[in-house]
Amino acid sequence: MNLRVNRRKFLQFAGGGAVGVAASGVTLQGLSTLNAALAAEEVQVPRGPEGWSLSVCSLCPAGCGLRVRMIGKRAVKIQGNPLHPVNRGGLCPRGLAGLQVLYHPDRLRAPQKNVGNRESPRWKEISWDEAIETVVQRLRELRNRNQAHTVALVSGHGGHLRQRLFERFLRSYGSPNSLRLPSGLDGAQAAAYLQQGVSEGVAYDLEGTHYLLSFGVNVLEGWGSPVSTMRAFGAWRDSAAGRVTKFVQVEPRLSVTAARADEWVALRPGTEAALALGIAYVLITEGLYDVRFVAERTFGFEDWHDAKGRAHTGFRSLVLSEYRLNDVAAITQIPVEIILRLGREFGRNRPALAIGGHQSSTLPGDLHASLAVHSLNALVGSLEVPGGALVRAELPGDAETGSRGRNHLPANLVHHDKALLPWADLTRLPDAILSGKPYALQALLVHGADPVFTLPNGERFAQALKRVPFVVSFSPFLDETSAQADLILPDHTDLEKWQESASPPTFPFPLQSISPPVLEPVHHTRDTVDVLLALARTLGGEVASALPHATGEEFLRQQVAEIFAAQAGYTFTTSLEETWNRLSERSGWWVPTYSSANQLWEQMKQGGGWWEPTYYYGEWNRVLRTPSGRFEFYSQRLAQWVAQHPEVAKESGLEPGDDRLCLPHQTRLPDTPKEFPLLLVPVEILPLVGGHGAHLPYLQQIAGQHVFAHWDSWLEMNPQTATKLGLEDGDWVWVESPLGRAKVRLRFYEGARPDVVHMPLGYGRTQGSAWGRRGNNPLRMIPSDGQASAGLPRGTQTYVRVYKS
Amino acid sequence: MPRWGMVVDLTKCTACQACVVACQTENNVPCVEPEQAALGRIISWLKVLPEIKGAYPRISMQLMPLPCLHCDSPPCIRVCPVGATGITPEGVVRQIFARCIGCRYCTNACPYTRRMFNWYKPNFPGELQQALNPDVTVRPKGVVEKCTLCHHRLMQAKERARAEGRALAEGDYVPACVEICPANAMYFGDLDDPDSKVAGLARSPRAFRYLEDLGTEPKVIYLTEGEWAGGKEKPRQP
Repeated sequence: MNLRVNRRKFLQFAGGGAVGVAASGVTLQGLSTLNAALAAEEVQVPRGPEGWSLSVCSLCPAGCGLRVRMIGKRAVKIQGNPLHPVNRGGLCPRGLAGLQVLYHPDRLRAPQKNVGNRESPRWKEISWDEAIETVVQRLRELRNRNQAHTVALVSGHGGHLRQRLFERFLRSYGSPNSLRLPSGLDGAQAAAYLQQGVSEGVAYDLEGTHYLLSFGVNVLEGWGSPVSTMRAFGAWRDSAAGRVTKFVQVEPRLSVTAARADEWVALRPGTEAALALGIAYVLITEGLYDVRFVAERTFGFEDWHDAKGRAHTGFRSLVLSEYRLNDVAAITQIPVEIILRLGREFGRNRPALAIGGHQSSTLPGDLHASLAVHSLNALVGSLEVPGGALVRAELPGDAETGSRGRNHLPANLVHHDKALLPWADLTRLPDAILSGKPYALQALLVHGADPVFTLPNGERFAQALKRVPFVVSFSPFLDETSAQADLILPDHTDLEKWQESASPPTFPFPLQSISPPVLEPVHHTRDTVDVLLALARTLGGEVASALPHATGEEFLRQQVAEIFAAQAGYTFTTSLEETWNRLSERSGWWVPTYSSANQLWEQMKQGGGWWEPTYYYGEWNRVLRTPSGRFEFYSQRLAQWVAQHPEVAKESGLEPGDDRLCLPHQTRLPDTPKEFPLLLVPVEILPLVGGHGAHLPYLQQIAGQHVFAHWDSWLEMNPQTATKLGLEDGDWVWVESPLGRAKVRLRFYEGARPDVVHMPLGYGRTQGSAWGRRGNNPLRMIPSDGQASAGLPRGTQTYVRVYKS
Repeated sequence: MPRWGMVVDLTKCTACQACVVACQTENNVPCVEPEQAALGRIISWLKVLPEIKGAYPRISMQLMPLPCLHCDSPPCIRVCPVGATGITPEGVVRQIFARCIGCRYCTNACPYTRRMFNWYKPNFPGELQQALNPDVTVRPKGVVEKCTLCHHRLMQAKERARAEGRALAEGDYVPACVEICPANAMYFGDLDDPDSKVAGLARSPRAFRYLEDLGTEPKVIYLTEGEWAGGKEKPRQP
């Protein structure tokens, strides 16, 4: 007899007849044995030889090293590369979910052409030849019409050499418009630029600090380089090493970071600057500041006279007269005793480090909060010391393009000489496109970014896209931005291509990881690097001679040769060897394991990359490049800019020429409108950091663990507030701002301030995978005006009302 | 014979949930659809359990990674009518999926709610099947599943040690969750070896066992949160 009973049918039969079975003397035990014999696995997993390959994660700017387990030609597990200095074998949940990106059922399988219109796109699969030909034709035509400068490229934060290639491509083609997504560190970067005069990466020695005072930074939820930050956190709290470091989190909401900190200080939203200055008051009045550092390396601390003999207020006078503890307590709603204690702890536990103000991974905070917070570092002499604030040295070869923000080409669409900050602010692109000034944008290339979804003014970006005649996206998935494109040339995902990344944000050492592809492409996608090289070849002329490389690999090899030529640093090794290398390098020895560029290349592939593990402290000429050559409490660059922009004084409610405009100060808080009594502050959560990841089920399942919310947006509200409004936990409610409203499920959360509600970022996609099209994007309810004139996006909160749906 | 156990240092844990996803990818745990998740049917052998106390602003939130605690005296085993679950000589509370008849007595008996029922056919749409680990069975609909302490890794480690003609050494066998922890907050090893890292930590005055008054004798041991020692100098890094 051919016994073909499948397990389900058998169990149905067995379940239905359970009573009968029991009565007839057949035991459940016997049933189970029979069941085991019948069980046919529903999913058969093919076996194959096991192998391990290295790669690099690009799901956030950190670029952690990956170690991928292969079974035959399949990738079955992603782990951390133990040699990689950024993550040392650890990984965050996003990186671990990488295989769901690679094998995602909703990936674009080949180039797509929009044969409908922008309003109602219809996608048709086309060949790569046709796709590349279409782009080449358009670019050639624009160049022939002398409109090469009207092409712009928007890119995300992944890849460094890749970015170098993009910029080289654009420049040789004749366009200055290489733009990048804003980063959550832009606020701190702005402070470093205005007070220290540097535009290289800000970095912190987190592991070495003894006191970390974070002003609303989501330290453990995706800020900077998440895994290396978590590693530092683990090191602070290692019982064997002794628990020396205290971590204080100042923010209105009990975030996961606040819950994990040693102390959480709840303050009134938007008053970070006042608190920082209150702490400065304690440091100054109690003599806890670094008198020598302040005297020798800073400018604007004492009252001073300029060249014209005009008297100026110093930082000390401002703080002593306007930020007395009672005043600060009234502004921030933090008791005086706590401010006093924070000030004393910050002054006495050196090295102490202050970071902020209020940043998420994508959205920078208020400029003056950042200036006030960074001033604390200068006050206690925490610049350029172990455990303090540092400035990362550039990578060999960076001089070619200049780091982000040093754009030598004129006529950038959004950036001009008169701007305060030296980098181009992407949030200004929509206005530039819509106004057609200084010129009309003819073509836009988007790579590794989804600005329509993640920018605070994404909706305006979407409107602006409609005005651009030719939009090309390189996204491997359909997303909010690529849905508006004319052409999508899907990029490979991480494991299918040559991966590389440089030092992540906040990481103090120059670093370059490189890894070859781990497996064959799953679909007919192509590495954007190779696509650009093909475009360059076909376009010919200057572009072809700037990018003569046959493959992306060849380009990377050439960049590695530059690292070799710099004659410094080491390939990735164990932390033990790293300590030794560092010791010998400090005493003037450099003993590399390689003797040629080829050898370096091979070793980089083997271990994952190269880095320079030694930080040279006290290179003052490099890290203090302000007009005074000192750390400027009174920023002279800001002063110059304010003088040219009288409207700034008016916006701040200060007299033109008021010194406070150039000194850190607490800006005026907006009044709560009567009809919208609650403040909506979007929050960034680790699984969906940067607004990406909602299409990955692994991440959806863990996103709202602290309020037991999964697969959907939620609104956090304090139960007291909810009771007053007659709302219950789990109710569907409308959240309404002057810009619009959204229906969300309410979650009681004791960690929310009674006058504030929160919604997570990353939800509310309307395009692409059905898994990602859930919930609401809070940014769509938030006006995004703010300090645009200063070159920093703002507008990440708004007033709302909440009522039952 | 080792007695495998885990120590989770709650002071070092950042609540990032990397352990949760590492476990799911290692063990072919299927993701359920959103509607199914809303019914509380997400399968996660390891989850991070939040506990919030107090009212704003005097409030604290504890986040605790909670795998199967591999009790020495497990309530779940006693209720299984078919012997589908048991405890191995090395102390691992195991589940023989093929023997399970899906009665869910054990899911009710476990005080830590660390046993999950497969309500649906395992769903790995499209290419996602490619990412399945061949070392771990994909559980069919209708059976209960739970943490195995990555038992397949133990098998492999033993095989490797045997091939190299040596005894199993500390660190040869580590479950996926412990291996990935970015803050190094989890430790794993032989609790019966007095010199092992975990045995040392288990003797710490900070050590506690979750709901231990139930008499379950868990082999996952937690270290309570310590407090900031207050400004002592620590030796400088070179």
